[in-house]
Amino acid sequence: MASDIYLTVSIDAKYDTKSIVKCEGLTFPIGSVVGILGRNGAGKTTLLKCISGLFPIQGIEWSTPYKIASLIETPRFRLDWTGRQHLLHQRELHKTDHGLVKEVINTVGLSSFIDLKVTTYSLGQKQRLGIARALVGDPDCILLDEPTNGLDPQGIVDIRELITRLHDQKKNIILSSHLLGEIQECCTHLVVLHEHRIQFSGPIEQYFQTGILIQATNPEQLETWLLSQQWNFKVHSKGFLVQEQHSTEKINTLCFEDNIVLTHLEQYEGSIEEHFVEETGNE
Amino acid sequence: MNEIIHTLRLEWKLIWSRRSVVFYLLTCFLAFAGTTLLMEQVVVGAEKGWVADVQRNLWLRNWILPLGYVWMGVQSFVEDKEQGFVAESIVRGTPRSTILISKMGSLLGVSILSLLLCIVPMIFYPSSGQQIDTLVGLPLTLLSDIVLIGWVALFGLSKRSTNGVLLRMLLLIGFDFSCRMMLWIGPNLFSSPLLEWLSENIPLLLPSTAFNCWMFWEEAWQIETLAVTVLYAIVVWGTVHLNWKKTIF
Repeated sequence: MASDIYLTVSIDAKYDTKSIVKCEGLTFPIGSVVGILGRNGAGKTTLLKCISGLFPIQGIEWSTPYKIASLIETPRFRLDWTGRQHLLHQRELHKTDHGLVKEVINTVGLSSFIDLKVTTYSLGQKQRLGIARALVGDPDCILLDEPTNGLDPQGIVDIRELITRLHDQKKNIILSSHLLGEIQECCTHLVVLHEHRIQFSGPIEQYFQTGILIQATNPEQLETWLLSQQWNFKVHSKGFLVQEQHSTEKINTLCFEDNIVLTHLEQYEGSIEEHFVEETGNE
Repeated sequence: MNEIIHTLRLEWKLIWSRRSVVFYLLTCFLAFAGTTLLMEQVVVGAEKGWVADVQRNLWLRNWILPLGYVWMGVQSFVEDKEQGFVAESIVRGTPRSTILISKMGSLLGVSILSLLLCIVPMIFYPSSGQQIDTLVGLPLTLLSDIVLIGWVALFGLSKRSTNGVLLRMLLLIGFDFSCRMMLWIGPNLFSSPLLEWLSENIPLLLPSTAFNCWMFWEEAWQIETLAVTVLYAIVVWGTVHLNWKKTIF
């Protein structure tokens, strides 16, 4: 196992006889924020439950004994307890320092309502308390399942900033979401689950389709020309995506010389959203 | 071992953080103390002395108060799951069997306390009589409480809501009661050797036999009742243990 890998997952999770998540040799690098992306029912939560031990299964290998914490599905609390009581209970469970509770309250921004009963909390406040509860154990790796689910725009921004802060504190984070923008903004690595299988895993940049996007007045002529050039290209909803080490100027010149009139020419960066929908959306 | 003690201590704290345990034990104390005083000081002709008092109080405890005990079991096995306490312990790395043992242990602690409260109110009343029988009743009551909580844990594995588990418990007791009634009435209505045989042998095997004689206290002193109770304890907790290890939280 490579030294920069903290977790390797090789599982075939089944419910009764039906396979609900299957993956072989999925790895999580140290210092990464890994986003798990997938459609509803793809197996994101199940994968997180497998990693956290809530779904009892073999095949989870930590490179060193890691302390983990999780916030999976909706945060659940005792409504007649205050936020502080929850954190103190958690501190006792994990046998961590008392000072850590204060630190976590400040980090997560709970100070103003920490001594109120949880029954008075909004969904966003409960979400923060859930994250605080996870942090009190001083974990090396935090699992978050749809952390911005049901939050207002400000809540989403706050949680996103919090994830960035935790990443700065060298915490490993694995979060699942079906919000593509959220994944793109927060994560360094990506795992795409589709129909209970791993479709992609690796650095997030590798998931983007990059290249030069071109379109012509006569698309058939352009396609024939691209084939004759023996270039790597993909048919894209906006034209053809050329994946070659050529500048836009060079492509423009070559097309002009062969009497192809381009209507669109741009350096294309792509987005997770486009690629994800393209890969999984039409099935 | 340290892990078990640590988890047990946390479970004990969780149980005591709920008001129901205080209410349950207070009810036990007041009911037992009240019954004892009533029988010793007021009711003329009542059997006196601590042996009689303990037997009366055990009877009272096993007829009425288990409902409170079942409620605490539901809180420990179902509410703790709903409120994320079980999941937190599992994610921390606490072995599942340790969590199960600590839950059972802490509930047993409450059971022991309630039994002590049975005895405390009448220590000042000297007595003579079948003391051994009375003392045997105490561990038997503990054993039956284990079975009772085992059923709650078993239903708590498949049902996520407290109401669902309580309903299952009521259905179990209702089913048990109906069976007993039918087996009792049947041979009087129809003369059949098979029915008579069933009427004699089946009631002993019904779940309520192990609920510390909620219905048939006098049978608790028989060795068959003890054997059935032990068998239920092993089967119910064995099933809970096997399923607890496989449960997705």
